[in-house]
Amino acid sequence: MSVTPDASRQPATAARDSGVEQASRFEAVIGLEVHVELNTATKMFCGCAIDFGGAPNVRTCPVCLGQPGSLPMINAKAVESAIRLG
Amino acid sequence: MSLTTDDVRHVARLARIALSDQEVEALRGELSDILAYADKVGEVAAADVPPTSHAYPLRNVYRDDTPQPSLPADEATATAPQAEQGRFRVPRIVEEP
Amino acid sequence: MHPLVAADAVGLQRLLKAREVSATEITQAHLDRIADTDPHVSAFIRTLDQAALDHARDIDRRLSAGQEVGALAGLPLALKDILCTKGVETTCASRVLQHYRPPYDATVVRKLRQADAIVVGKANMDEFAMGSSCENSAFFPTRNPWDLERVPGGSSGGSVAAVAANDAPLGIGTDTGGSVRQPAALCGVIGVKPTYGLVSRFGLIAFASSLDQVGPIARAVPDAALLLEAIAGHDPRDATSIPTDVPDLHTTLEAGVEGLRVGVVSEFMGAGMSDGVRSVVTAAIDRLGALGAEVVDVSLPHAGYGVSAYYLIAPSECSSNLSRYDGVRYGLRVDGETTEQMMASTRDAGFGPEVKRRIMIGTYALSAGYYDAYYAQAQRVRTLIIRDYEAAYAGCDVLASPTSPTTAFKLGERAADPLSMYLSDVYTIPSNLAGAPALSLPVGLDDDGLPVGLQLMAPVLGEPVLFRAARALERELAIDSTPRGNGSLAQVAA
Ligand SMILES: [Zn+2]
Repeated sequence: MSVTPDASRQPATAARDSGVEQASRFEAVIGLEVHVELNTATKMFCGCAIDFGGAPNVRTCPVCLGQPGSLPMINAKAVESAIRLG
Repeated sequence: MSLTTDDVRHVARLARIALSDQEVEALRGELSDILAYADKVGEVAAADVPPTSHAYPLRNVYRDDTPQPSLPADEATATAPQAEQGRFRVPRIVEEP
Repeated sequence: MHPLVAADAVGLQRLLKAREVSATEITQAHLDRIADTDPHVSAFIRTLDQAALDHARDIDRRLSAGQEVGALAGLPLALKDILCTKGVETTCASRVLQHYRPPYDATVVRKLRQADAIVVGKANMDEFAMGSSCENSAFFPTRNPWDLERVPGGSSGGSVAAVAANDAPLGIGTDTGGSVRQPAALCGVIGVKPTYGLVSRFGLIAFASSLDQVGPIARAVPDAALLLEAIAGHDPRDATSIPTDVPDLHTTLEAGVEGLRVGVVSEFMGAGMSDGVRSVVTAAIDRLGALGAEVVDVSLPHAGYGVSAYYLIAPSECSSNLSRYDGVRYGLRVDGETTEQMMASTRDAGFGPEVKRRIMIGTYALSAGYYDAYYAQAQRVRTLIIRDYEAAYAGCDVLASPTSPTTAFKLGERAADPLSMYLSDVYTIPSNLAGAPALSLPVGLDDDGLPVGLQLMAPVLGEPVLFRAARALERELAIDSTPRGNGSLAQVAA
């Protein structure tokens, strides 16, 4: 998204004005990082259940702990949801 | 291909290995030799040759979204060098204000 | 030597099924053999006597009750210490995992248990499977049963030496660039690298994920076939596992080589090979011709770039796979002021020189600005090598070459020069890059009385023809695989 400086919203002091003049030579580009919680039953790369409010590390397995030798396996539902979101 | 000791230190930092000065010096020569040999890959395979990451390509390998049993609570941290109350203990990450 | 430890796996199974011996007797004979030989060979990081005997007694109990037993029932097996065994130390011959007890079993280990194989011990190896001599173990080197002053090869040197020393009829190794085949050649036994994806990698501690493959080791081709059939098969926990049936190796095992076209790889018969290897390998290939195979010359023009490509691809994947050893969730920790210092000190103390070297090469090759020149370019060379094989197999059923350019070298001889060690794998690496199966078959001794291996290669999923060709030559040559001669195990352990 691009933003064009709006002069009417700037403070009217001289010092600030020169700041606004300088700033107006730049184009602001604002990125939005959107986090979405998917309604999957399990984690992205392992079969551990998604379940909030438990004791620490109770929903863990060799895969999500990154134990030596373990391999991730991607969640089909999560991929489908990501595609649906576009 | 000849690496400097600064190159080696930079890579060691990226790899999170606290090398001794002696190791840095030894690796400088060894890595230079090995990379000079590996450089031969540049002699063949023009940019139009597609790279192969896996020799047996498989597509769309997924897992059903069905919960599987997790580890018993005491096993998750059983392998940890330091654990406390079911948590992995590490040195302080956030500085005191 | 006790007749039960001299026997091959198929012979032991026959005795067990006829109830002429018990699984307990077989197991005890091998544990006794290990007690005699391992002080000289050092094949094992850990033996599992009690668990082995418990399992054997359970098999005997089931046999007595007329219950089912598995396809490998009662057969002792040496397991490379890179495969996770639940609750049993799995070290990868590294300080960083010296006391690591995995919370789960590798799929291969689960299959071995289900098949009722008796795991007698966790075998030594080069640390994280990086090496060609077993000297890179953080604990101790393994010695070659044919000459105790020489290396057994690596990285699966412990499993291979155990099979050669009659500690077990079966062994499991892993092969990323030749780590089953090269030690098999140097110790005079059979070692197989199956098609990539045929055997699950779940629970195999990763070195280079696109190349790693579990493979069987034995003293007879039918034994190796039996073991591969037991461990192969699709695993839903390994995304690179091929969804295919377990290959049927036995139907065509004895079919002979008449009418098969065997291509001799010209690039692997040139300079760099010892005279002894050349003459023994050439004679073996001639015997294939005498058995009715049509022997032709083939070319793999880009195979010479295999080592270069390998020493970019394998370290790059290794640097990523080994980033997990940070002293937090498992393994060694060396304390530090900050978390980053703790991690860096842990990794300095936990990894040996060769592992650090490869992590450093890989980190460099993947770092900003170098990815295209190194990793991506190596992957393009990989494509060229795969195309070379495709062209060669258009006119051949199997390919043949030496497994290793030399026979077993002396301990310490190549330790100071990493590059000369890397060139031990010049003939084996291309099969890993191509994902195709290959095996090493002992085909004779050189003038020093040391074993020479012939490498046979086949197209992806071509295991049946690979085993068929190896079996025909094995029958024809009738090689005695017992280590003997000056400096061998035979002189210190009868
Ligand atoms: Zn998990």
